[in-house]
Amino acid sequence: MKRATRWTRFAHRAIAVSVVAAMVVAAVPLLHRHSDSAPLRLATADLRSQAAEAALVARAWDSRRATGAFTRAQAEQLAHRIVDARSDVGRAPVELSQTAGSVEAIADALLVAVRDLEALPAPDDSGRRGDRLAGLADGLGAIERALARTE
Amino acid sequence: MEKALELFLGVLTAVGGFVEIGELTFSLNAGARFGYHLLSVIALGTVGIIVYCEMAGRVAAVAGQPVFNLIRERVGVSLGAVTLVAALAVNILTCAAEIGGIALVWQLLAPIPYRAWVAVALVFLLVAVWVLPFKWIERVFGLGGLLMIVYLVVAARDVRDWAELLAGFIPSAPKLESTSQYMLFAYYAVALLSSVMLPYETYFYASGAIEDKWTPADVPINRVIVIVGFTLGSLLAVALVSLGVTVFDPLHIEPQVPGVAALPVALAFGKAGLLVALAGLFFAFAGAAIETCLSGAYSLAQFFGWPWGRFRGHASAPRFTIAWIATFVLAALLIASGVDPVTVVEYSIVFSVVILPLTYFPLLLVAGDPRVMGRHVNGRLSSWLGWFYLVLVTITALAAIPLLVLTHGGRG
Repeated sequence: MKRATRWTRFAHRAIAVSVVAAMVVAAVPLLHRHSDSAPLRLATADLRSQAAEAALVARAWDSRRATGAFTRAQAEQLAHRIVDARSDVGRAPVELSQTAGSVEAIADALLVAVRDLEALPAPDDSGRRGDRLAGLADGLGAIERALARTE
Repeated sequence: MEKALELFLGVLTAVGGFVEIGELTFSLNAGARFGYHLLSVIALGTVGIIVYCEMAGRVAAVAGQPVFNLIRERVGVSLGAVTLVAALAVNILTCAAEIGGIALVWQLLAPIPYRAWVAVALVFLLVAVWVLPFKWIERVFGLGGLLMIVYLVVAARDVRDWAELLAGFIPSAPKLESTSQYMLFAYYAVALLSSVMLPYETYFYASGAIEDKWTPADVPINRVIVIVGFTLGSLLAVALVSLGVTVFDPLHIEPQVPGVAALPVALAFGKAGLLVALAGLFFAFAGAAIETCLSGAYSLAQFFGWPWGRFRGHASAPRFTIAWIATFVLAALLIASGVDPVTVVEYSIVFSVVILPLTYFPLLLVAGDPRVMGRHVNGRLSSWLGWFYLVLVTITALAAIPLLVLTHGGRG
């Protein structure tokens, strides 16, 4: 019992120290938030992934391999996340406002395309819908890489 | 035959631990971001959970003691209470995420609002646990979870380079561009290890062994159950990592909603495959919801010495019954508030790692105590592996929260 108690007490303290250290580390960037491009890069990465996910959903729908209920619900779930990520872009620091504007423009086009998919358009054998969404993902990916280089 | 059906305790525990909503997204993302490099972590964690669940089942069979009895007995009430509170918080968070996962999956089948599906999922789970005897909970959700094998089939079909996949089982780090990406890799390693060795798996497995009235004669079958059950769960996790590599990485997708996992199956087998894949997700999430909910109720009842167990009937274990009902209701209310299930479970998995050493140490001490275990005491291998994994999970517990913060909550 004594051995277990001693060890558990040590583990509690060690974990508490690591949590406090993490909080200190977390607090430091808050002091320099205005120059940190990481939040914009992360929001752009989320949008890029959502655009690519939407392209895959569109391809499954257009090739008649996904049901209507699945496609509609996937598009709806993605649309909610796109709206969230777009609002994160809006909080970008002033010096990145031009880049943020470009991301917002693509996010708006992405949201329109996903809402269109949610309405279950007739399947398109040419695969253009998926290609267009993949193109938006590529555009966002290029911005994301440029932001990563500035960090 | 009856003994063979005991396997479903292992299958349910493993599927509920390995392919719940958090592990699903972590595994797919691990493959999409880092290729096969994190397969070694899944293999490492699988051996670890086999070692500790085998100990938990053996102690339950020989001494009739579930895990939270041991924690209270070995570390005392006040220190044990800290572990209890942390374990309950993690169980409720994970249960909430699984209920959210069920609602998201059902939404993919019929266009009903998310919150309405959350309410239906709550009623479904309450009725299932109220009506079904423990053995049937094991069998229904264990067997249903086997539908996840469809992911294994698609993953095996899509592997382009088996040598590369097998090389992933040898510990290695990929070549990355920046320190922050290496930190993200470390975060994923910690999160995957934690999601494979989730503490509620041992609480549930040991309590399940007592529900199933195991005796020392069940020690050999216990070994078979943990090895078969957790190896199967591990293979499913490997399949998800592999789908991340072959399907999602080339398209630059880091899956964020659980339904995306079903897309590779739909693309391979069409609408019928999609429905099997969604049914597999439903049983896996429902199994995990039941596992986490009952684990919470077991932990509470065992810590305070209340009568517990589904085998007793609701009237004979009233506080235990109230505890699991309250856990389901709290979890459903939490997820209905609009929080994202994937985010909730990702945080809960990282916080789980913090209680791993606090759970495993008392178990290791009792399983190695000849006065309690007699001839079923830990052998040299169990003992060595037990200590190795205790050191490993302690180091992981210390690194988990700092890595969570440094990687912007695991986003990069």
